[in-house]
Amino acid sequence: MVVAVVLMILKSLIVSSLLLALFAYLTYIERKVLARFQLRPGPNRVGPFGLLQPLADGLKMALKEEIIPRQADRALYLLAPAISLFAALMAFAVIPFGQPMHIFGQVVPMQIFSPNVGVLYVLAVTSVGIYGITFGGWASQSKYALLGGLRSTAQMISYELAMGLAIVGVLLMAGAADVNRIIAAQHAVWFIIPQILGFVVYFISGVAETNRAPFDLVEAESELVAGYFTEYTGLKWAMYMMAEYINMVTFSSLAATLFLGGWSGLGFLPWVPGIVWYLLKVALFIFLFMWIRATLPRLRYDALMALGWKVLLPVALVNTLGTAVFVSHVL
Amino acid sequence: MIALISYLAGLAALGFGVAVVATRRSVHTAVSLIGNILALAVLFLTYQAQFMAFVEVAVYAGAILILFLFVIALLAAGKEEERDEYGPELAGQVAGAVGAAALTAAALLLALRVHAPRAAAALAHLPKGYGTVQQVGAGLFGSYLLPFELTAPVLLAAIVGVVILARPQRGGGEERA
Repeated sequence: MVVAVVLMILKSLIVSSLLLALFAYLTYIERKVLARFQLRPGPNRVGPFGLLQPLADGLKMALKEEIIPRQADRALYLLAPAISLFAALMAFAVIPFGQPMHIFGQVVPMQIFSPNVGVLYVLAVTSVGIYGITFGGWASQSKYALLGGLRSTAQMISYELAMGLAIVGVLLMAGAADVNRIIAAQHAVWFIIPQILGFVVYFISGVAETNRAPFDLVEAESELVAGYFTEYTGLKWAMYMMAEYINMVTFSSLAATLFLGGWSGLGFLPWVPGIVWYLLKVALFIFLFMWIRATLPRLRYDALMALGWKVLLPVALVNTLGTAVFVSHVL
Repeated sequence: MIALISYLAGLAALGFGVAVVATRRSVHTAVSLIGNILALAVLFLTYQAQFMAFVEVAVYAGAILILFLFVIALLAAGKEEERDEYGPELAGQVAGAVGAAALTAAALLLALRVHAPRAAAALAHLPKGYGTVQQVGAGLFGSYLLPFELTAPVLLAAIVGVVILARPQRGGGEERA
């Protein structure tokens, strides 16, 4: 019991710090990748290849003057970015990132927390994360922040529906909502092949859920300055950024788990450890995110809502029904 | 350990519940309600009901309360909410406070004396797989199928009602008073 609790705390600490470090370098990678797409070098002044850029950015953030608008609802204004970051870190807890390891005679699962409804856990925690944005927009008491906050809330709850329904197909095929059993159910064929419709809906809604381009209307700088975090400065602003990038990692991890077999590898390369496969798959999705950002223009708001409610939701429904019929009559 | 967590979560749920009534700004009320829902979810977790815990958070905190907040934020954007200047008289307030205290005490007594031992006994003999999606689903679509399906027309009626209420009135094109 004590060993299990200590292990859990240790794993949480390690994973949280790794995620925060990953955030720092994801900003660097994103800037580099975007720069390459636009035929320019990207950050290359601080350190070799600009590798120390994230550290410089972090220092700058930490030393910035904190500004709290006089009209702001102080308590909520301070709480909001913390909610976002907290939910982002929490959501990662159920992601399995490798096969269980044997350390000092103990079997240590490469996962922090393993509920029997892991997928629902991620959905529940990310839906709490939306409050960080809603409260941030409201507590700033500024019109741009409020409009940005409302816009993003509407967008996220709309796409959450389609996303949840897209996942149902996978749950039906695996016959479980436990991420480990979902991975085990994919040993014959990755779910991306039978669930391709579900995957497409899931991925598009994931881009919208993480507020990334082309669905980044929340921070449409030409109309809303920066949306819900317009009034935030320094580290509190950085916390929103951390939440966005960590959400991207969690989303990619969940995509890999649900549709690409998680940490399980290809059969002909049995000696490659699970964690490598996991990282490869996550990197693939994150690169896709960046590629899309570099390629596609931003959607108009009504087009975004129409896409969510009139295209993705019906497609996800049809996919769920089809999968249900298939599972109950064919399998 | 589990008992301690469940008591703490229960206390937190009570505290947030009081805050829901006591806070003045409607957004703070919503925040308290979210806190209450999260504390209840922890309570569900201590009783092994993981599915219920996460569904509670996803549905109530993640969907319903967000819509509340939406309305609050849209209606009261930038405005101080109006306060009720004609509150109840002192005698009424005292009577209300005493009544509430008596009811709370009675409920607490009942909970500690009657329900706590029963809950402890039930927890000691949980059937295997208790609280899983499979069990809840079997209950929902097995023994409780009729009540479950009956909620569908209720929800449909609510949706139809909203559509009718929100529809612009035909003819004239004038705004309703």
